[in-house]
Amino acid sequence: MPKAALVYISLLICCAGIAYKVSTWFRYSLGSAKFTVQSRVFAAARGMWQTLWSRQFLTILKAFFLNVLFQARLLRVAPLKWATHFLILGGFMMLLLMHALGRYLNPLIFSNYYSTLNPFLFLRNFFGVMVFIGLGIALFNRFIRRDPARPPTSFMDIYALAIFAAIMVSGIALESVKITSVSVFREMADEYATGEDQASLKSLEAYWVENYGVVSPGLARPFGPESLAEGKVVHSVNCAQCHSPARWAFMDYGVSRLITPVAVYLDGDGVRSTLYYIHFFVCLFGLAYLPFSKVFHLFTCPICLLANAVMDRSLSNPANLMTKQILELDACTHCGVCTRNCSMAFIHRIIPNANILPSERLASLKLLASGQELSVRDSLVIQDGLNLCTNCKQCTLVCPVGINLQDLWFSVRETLVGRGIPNLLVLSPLSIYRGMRKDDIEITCYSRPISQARKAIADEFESSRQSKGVYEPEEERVLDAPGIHLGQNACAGCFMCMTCTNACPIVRTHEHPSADLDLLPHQLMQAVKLRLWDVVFSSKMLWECLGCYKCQEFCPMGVPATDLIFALRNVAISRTSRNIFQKTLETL
Amino acid sequence: MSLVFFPCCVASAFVDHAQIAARLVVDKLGVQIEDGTEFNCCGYPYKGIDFQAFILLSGRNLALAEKNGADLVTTCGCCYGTTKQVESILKHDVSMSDYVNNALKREGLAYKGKSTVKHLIEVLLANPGIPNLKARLDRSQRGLRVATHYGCKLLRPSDVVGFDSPFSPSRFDQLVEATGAVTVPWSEKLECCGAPLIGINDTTSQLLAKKKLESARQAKADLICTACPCCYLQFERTRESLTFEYESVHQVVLPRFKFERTKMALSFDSVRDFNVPSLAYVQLIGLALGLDEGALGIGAIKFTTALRPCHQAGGMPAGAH
Repeated sequence: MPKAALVYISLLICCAGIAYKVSTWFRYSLGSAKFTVQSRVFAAARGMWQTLWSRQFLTILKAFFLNVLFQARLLRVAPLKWATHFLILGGFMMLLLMHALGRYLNPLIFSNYYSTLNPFLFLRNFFGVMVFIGLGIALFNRFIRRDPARPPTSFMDIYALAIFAAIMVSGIALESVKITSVSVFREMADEYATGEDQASLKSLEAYWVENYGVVSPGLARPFGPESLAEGKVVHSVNCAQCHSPARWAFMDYGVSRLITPVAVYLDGDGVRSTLYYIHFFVCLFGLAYLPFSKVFHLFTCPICLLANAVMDRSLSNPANLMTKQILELDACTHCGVCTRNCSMAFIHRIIPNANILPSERLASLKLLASGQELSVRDSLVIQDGLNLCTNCKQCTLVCPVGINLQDLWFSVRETLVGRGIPNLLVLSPLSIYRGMRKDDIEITCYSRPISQARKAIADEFESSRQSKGVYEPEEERVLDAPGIHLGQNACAGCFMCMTCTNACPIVRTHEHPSADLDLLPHQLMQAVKLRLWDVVFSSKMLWECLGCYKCQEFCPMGVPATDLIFALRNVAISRTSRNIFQKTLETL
Repeated sequence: MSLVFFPCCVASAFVDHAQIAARLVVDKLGVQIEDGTEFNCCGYPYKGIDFQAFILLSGRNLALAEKNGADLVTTCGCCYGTTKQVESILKHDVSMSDYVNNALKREGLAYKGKSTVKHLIEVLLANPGIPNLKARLDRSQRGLRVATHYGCKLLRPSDVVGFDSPFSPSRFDQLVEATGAVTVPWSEKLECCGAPLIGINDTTSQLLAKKKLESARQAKADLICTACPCCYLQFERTRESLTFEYESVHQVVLPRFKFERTKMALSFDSVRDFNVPSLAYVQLIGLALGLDEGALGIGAIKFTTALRPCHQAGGMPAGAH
């Protein structure tokens, strides 16, 4: 039977897809550590086996009931999402069991199963309404309520919603067309009401037009009470055992009332079978596509939640941690809760790099993890977005799937450091996180980003060392860029009394400060006055400043020395980053 | 004006127990502070990267507070100083203020200068106030010698922050003394803890913290009490790292750092020279209020893996002592 064959084929594709996806968890890698596929599979098997026989199994059980079945994490962070999730999941699961597989499963439980009898007739519509309400909330939140904190809708989101909606709409359309169809009625009547004569069949039809929503071109309302009474008798003899009143299928019935005016034209095998095949094929497509769609989280989320319940960075096998991180990339449902709680998401509005948003960054990472050669431009953009992260851990705390996003960012940051593209954002207190996790970083790689960034800046301003002989007004205005807030005149009052240098805690940590720091604070101010930009921007003092504001506080001339240092860093970083970006684009 | 808590990113990531302790203390004292949820980073790390982003981030927090008719309350000195500075810029620079309000228009936000930011110390000094606080505390900390560390951005630049005198501050000392503790004068009191350089120049960063720890020890302090969770983190981290270093040099723990011995030439004779524990002020007050040590997260900073010696090849930087 070709229909059964199609079902098996799509099931096969689904299983093959899942197998492929699972294999990627062990094949792809992130971070600097190297493991063979074999060792990762063994490590995972051993880890699972050990957990099974340890006390941690109880933790797993608890996580299973609380976080997997009840989705407590989701309920805590986003109650509306939780409700939407369970409306769609619950409704669709029940439809799958009672309707799609109903023919096989229901008879096992119920002695008298007919899809047209209550409670099945009613329940099917009830579950359908659940899914529709869920989809409605999802669509409303995505497309109508323009919430600036929500991450942009991706194609994956649209595909998933479209597949669900297509299945539901085609199903309802099919059912309502069937309700109104007089030809279906007549076929059934011919088959089951065999003993009845033409007149009783006519009154039966009248009864069904009146009560069951059939639209008959031959019969006109109103019907006489005798005709209906006779119809009722015929109905109770021949049809009532298998047909609960159509009104119980409230949604199908409602739609059938809406299409009444055109029902006659829709009554035909062609329309019904078209609708049926749409419904059937979309279901099969959904099944085959499942491992590659976001609905795959049905499998990955539970694994992720359970794994995170027992795994710990300091205790677990590094091979398993890597496997888990790749799995986590698949577990992301793009729900956007991380972005909503991100302390940097707002900045996305002035820096248009989608990788600032954790949910979007995670999507970009899938490419990186798959080991495909990431283009230089992509690496640059991901690194830029990633390094703007304050590592405040909020994303990890709120993720409903329990993805350890912070560790993921950490691994990726180290992977990208290995590519050797300088990123200047490391020259800010954003590096505190990396410094705190020094022990997790290969010691040879640890200081590389800082030295790369310093070198990039020194190279950038090297050109201004050459004497030009011609007056260049741009040189004059390096500090007067828009948005810097301080101008070139800020240090005009400095007369090199060295109060700043004497107050500076950095100067005092060095035995030979002028040799170690290139410029002392007062010299830095003087160099700015003289516009010796190469000296200023390559000096260690500029980049070692703590921002403790002692110099500024003590300056007798009121020079905002610390703020000036921040302004200078701004100039250096924005100009150098821009040029790095341009240069990499040119080399492509 | 009502108050709303502003969480700090660094504290949330590493010393969240200090923020939890703040909540416990505030609740115990009956000070009404709401929990803030939709805030973003204060912008502190962005000051040297992208000044406009820096202004915008704090500007948005202030505008959000203003929308709710509240003032921000932070436990962190850096968040406090940063937001104060932005507040001052927005009040004095019309073009910046226009820029911020334009960017916030889409969210229906605007900052008109009605809301401000307060450090939790300020809040506690105003309400319940020192006399009431003294009555509430059990003064079990009587006689404890405490070195108070204000943190740079709580004091400087004084014309912007205006928290206390930048030369001889006393407000935080008053709060600490209310617990019955004695605050000690120490030479490095107003210096930076070195935290901003973590990850950029670890050597200098730890050196600064070490100098402070030694100075506190010389002043015979039992502990350092910090007004900022980042400084608290830095002191505890440095203390642990130095202890590890010390022990490895003296081959107490692992032989793998044996060869570092000559290079390091440690400037202290025993662990006692730098082994001064640190507490965030909320923890100290919590203790004096009789709150549970575990709930306050005392002793909660545990670095899971041992820290490596801070002085890599190249030896001890000059002028260490």
